[in-house]
Amino acid sequence: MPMLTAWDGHVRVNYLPRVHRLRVIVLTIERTLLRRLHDGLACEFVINDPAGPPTFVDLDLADGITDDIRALLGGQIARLAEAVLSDPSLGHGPVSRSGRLNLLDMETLARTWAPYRDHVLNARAETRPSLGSWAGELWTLFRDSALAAALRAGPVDAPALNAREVDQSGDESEWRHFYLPAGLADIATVEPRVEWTVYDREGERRLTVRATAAAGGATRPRLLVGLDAPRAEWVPLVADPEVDGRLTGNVPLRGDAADAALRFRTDTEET
Amino acid sequence: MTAFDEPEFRKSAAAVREYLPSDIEEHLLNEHGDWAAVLNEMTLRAAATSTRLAKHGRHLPVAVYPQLAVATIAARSKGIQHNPTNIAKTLDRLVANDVPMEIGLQSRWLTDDSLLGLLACTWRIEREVLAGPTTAPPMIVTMVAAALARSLGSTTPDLATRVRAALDRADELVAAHLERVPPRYGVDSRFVVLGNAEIVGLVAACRTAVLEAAGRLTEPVADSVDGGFHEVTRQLRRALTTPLGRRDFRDGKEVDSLAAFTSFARFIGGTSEDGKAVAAVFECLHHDLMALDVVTRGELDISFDNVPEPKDMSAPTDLLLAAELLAHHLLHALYAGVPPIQREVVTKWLAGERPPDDQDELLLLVERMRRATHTLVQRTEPPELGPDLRARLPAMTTKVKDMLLLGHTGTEIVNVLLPTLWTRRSAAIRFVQSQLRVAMTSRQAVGQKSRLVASAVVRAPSQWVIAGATPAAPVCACGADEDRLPAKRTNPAEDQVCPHRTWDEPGPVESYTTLAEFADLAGVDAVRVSVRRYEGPWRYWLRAAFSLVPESAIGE
Repeated sequence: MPMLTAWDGHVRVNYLPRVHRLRVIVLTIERTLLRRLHDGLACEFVINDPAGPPTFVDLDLADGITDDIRALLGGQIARLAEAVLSDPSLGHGPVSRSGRLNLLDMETLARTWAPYRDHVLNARAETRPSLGSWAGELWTLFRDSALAAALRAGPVDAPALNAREVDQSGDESEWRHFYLPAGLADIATVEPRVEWTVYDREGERRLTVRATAAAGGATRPRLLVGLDAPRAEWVPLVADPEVDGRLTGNVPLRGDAADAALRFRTDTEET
Repeated sequence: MTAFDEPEFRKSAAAVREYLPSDIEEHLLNEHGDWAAVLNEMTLRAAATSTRLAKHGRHLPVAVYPQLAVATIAARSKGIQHNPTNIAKTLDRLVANDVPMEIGLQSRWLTDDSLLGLLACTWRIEREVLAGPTTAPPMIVTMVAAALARSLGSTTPDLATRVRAALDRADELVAAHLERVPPRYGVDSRFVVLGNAEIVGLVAACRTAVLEAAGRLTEPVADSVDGGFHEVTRQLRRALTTPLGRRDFRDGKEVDSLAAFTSFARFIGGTSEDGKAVAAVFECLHHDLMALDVVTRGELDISFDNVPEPKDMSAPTDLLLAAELLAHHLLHALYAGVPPIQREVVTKWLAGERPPDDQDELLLLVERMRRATHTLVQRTEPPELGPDLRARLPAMTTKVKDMLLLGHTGTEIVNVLLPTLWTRRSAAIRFVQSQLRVAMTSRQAVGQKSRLVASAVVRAPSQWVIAGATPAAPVCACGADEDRLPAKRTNPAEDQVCPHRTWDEPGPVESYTTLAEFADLAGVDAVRVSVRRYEGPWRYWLRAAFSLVPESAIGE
């Protein structure tokens, strides 16, 4: 029976030196859907597979293979990428390497990309963000129109406001909230409800996220947040000196933050 | 001057019979009643052919008896050839083209016998390429191998090397093509039912690589690939939207994926005659529906009781007899109807030489595992073993006897015999689910059905499905929830349902409740109804998972 699905694990990795882009292809006969998530990332999934791995990924490698990229691609594909980048014939057009991933590799890949997949396929009817694995940690993607609007020029003009607060400097800001996947909140030892706000101070647009440490959680909470954008950093949420049990983090914004999503992940490694 | 050696021929015929795909086997049994009658008929026809040739001064050596046996079977009508002249012609073509036993039966699918040489050559190169380091999908290898053999000639030296080079070149060309051509975001309306830019790009690139290797490229490489892309897209669309009945295929049930890949093969083969030749060879080599085929009558006449204990073992002779009987059944379950090449896969697996989590032929092995487990409830006389399996019987008997001595019973024996196929059951389910989904294209609710069947059938030998409801729980007994498997699972009790059991953990892995959840079905009743109504691949194994006695043991 002629069959070729993404789960068969036939992988190709190409590097396009002129535009420093890495492309990963997982061959399949099935129909797919491709979306660009931001300047640094586009990805594609099989339309009929709500649990499948990416079948095409386009990554910007201006900064080389970062830790984030390594975590997303997984060990084997990252090695293929390294091989392609260090290929001596580089510079004379695209270079290609191929590999074969087994069932376990494919499942790990599928689980890592779950938040992106659910966004690309809009597989989930609910707006609850989905859970992905991230090299032993858990991560999720939060994207919504209010956030996108807030990150664009102009103040947030939301019809349903949540608690209006005044932060320590007296500036007004509007907090909105969403819920982290329970599994992620558990591991990070925080309450699932997370709040965010975008405000202007000293002429600069800022994004602050805050969470609440889980009741009875003896472990030090470990939650990181960052924009889902090229060159975005991970920022840890740290204890707010003013309010007991509250954790806050300020997400640096750059010019290309418009329409960005927020990523959250656990960090259970002791530093 | 050698007369027809009947005993020798019967041996060859018995061997051929061992490898028969189930649809041919079924047809022959329907026509002749039992195997003895089939073998008699084959022998009769072979003898007549031998006599006819002897009259013209030609004597057939015993060495060609396997091919003679194959020649007596008419693959298209699935019966036994009556006309000695036709048998002789077929035999001559098989011998002249050096068609090996391994594809002897499959070769009968070729409607154009002049392509037998190309078939044999393609098969050999394909095997050579796949035995070496290659990451190309086997079907693509077949197409490129056939196309190159066709353009360069079957006697060209180093064809395997050239095929590998062409495959590598195709990868480069796809990369360049994707750089040139902007991607299409969203749903790509160029592809209906099946297909996407990457696989179509690869097919176009393969054709260009083949033309290049054959020195027949008449336009710039980039134009060839880009233009080829459009042409493949067009042909693929046509292949997938032609109404049934208008296509030239054998039994009216051609699967979309076969149509898609055949159109790829035709394109890579080149213009008109070459394209048809490559497509015919491709179809012949990849026609096997075996792994997803439904069981035919006689073999699995199952009364779904509990797994029986082997008979009382007090006397040593009883032990040996019991072991031999069980071994007999197991060998038959594991190998009967499996063509020669795929037997290697089964043998390697049994010998522990297959790494877990390998996808190659996984469907075949899951299906064979299910057969082996069901063997244990057989009450019927064990089916006759052909020469190949008889040769394996002593070793298998010894293994089984050792296990019986150790006190293993029932499914434990199968569990010990069959090495691990997966490290994580969920990954194997997703793989099988995808294969089923592609096999069932163009039908409704494919997503739910493929999930239902995959999760019911993919389980280790000592795992089963509870044919009823179980208490619903957000978190499984082992600690896993919808999204995650905990690093350390708590082992659930032996009678608790847990889909996350590892290969070695005996116990129930699904119930109507878990299946409803996984397959996104409304509830327990919806599962029951879906199971009873399901008509797709592995229908038998789905029903067997719930111990539902099939209305008839014969499949589609």
